[in-house]
Amino acid sequence: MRHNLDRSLQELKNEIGILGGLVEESVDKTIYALRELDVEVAQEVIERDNDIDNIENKIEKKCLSLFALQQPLAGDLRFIGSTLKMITDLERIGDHSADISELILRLKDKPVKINPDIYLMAEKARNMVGRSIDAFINQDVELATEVCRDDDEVDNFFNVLIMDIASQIKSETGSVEPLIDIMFIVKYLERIGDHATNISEWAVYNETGKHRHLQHPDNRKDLEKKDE
Amino acid sequence: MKKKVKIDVKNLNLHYGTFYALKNINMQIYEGEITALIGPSGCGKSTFLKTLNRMNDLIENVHIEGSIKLDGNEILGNIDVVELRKKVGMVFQKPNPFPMSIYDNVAYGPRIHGIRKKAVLDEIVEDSLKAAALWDEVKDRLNKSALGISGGQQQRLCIARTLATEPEVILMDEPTSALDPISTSKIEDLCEELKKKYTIVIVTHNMQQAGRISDKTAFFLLGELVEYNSTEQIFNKPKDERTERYITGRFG
Repeated sequence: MRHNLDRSLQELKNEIGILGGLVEESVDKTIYALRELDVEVAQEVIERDNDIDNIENKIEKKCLSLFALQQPLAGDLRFIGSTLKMITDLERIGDHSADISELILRLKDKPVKINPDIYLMAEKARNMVGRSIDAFINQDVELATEVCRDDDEVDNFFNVLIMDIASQIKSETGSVEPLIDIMFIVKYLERIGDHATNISEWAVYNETGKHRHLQHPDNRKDLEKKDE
Repeated sequence: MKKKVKIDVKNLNLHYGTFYALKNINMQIYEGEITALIGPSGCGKSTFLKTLNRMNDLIENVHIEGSIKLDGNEILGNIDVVELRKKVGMVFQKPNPFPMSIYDNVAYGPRIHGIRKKAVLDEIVEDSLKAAALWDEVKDRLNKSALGISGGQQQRLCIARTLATEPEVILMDEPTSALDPISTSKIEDLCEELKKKYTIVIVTHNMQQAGRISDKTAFFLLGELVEYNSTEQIFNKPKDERTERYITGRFG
């Protein structure tokens, strides 16, 4: 009964796991490097981004070839289709980690006051990434919906931090460049949250056959756990 | 814009002797649509197709209960079957042209229904062959034997032969399973064209074909109609676990 396809789908799942692992590691290291302003770790993240790109490419090829050779339908079709979409988000999260790491290299040795909320925001975003990957692999609609809800918190951090940086820039008498770098870091973190949300939306599609934008509370009403 | 129900099947039960072949089928087939019937061999889909123009009458020991209405008129009772089959034509799995000329194949039906004038027959033959997308390929050899053309052309000839009696519904029983991919795609394009004028019901084992051409898909299993829905729904997210297993090829 389609042993060939089943084997390929299992391989695909394993590869998503590997890619997800690498991306999570990249985000972890980026956050560590941000906290410690550790240039070596930041450098490592930048260098490892190639590996992420390569695996994403490999998975993409496999999905396209499964479409061509196996003509997947129903559950198989949704899984391969959503995989093809979600790996782009994973790869993008890797890119943003590398982008943040580049900025960390520049921030080193520059005196700048960092609002500690940025670490909370980074933790939240990292947590969303990990759980969105779990939700996708384990086809867990409830977890995926939670991740989408958490994106609101990341967005709140974003708004607060940007306002804070803006007021710092106004009162800054010296160079504002480090503050602008921090602003970009905050933006990249916010994007990481968005990509984790996208992955969760594909996890929901994979399971329900419907793709919808779940950041909006109205769109996820029926998926959320009912509070008694 | 609600589509009109062309064929309305209610509580249809069919036994071949002691074998219970169709179990309480309820299904509405809509005008101007292509409805695909899918399911494993022996699931009842071809039996169901044949009840739609009373082809099962020819089999011994068949017992049918229930109701099938064509445009609101019961077809299971005591009716003129020849007249029914004029309205509900059939194309079979293997091209089965009669051993006569291309022209005579297409003119066969109209002649049975009493048309004798050559000018009228000429027109019917040309129109039918054109509608079956075969005219350009055979117009210079209408008097040659139908057995001398390719399998794909023979199948389109059979479609032309069906069209010649001006049916309203065309039943197709795996019409492309004996054809190469080019002939298959010609027949599929033709179906797309024909559904503007006719209601088409097609049995196919080729899942991709059902996906490519049909508006609605019905999944049969062990004589039951398990799921009947838009083809898009069936192929993306079927509701029944058994449909999912069948169309993803995991039925064992």
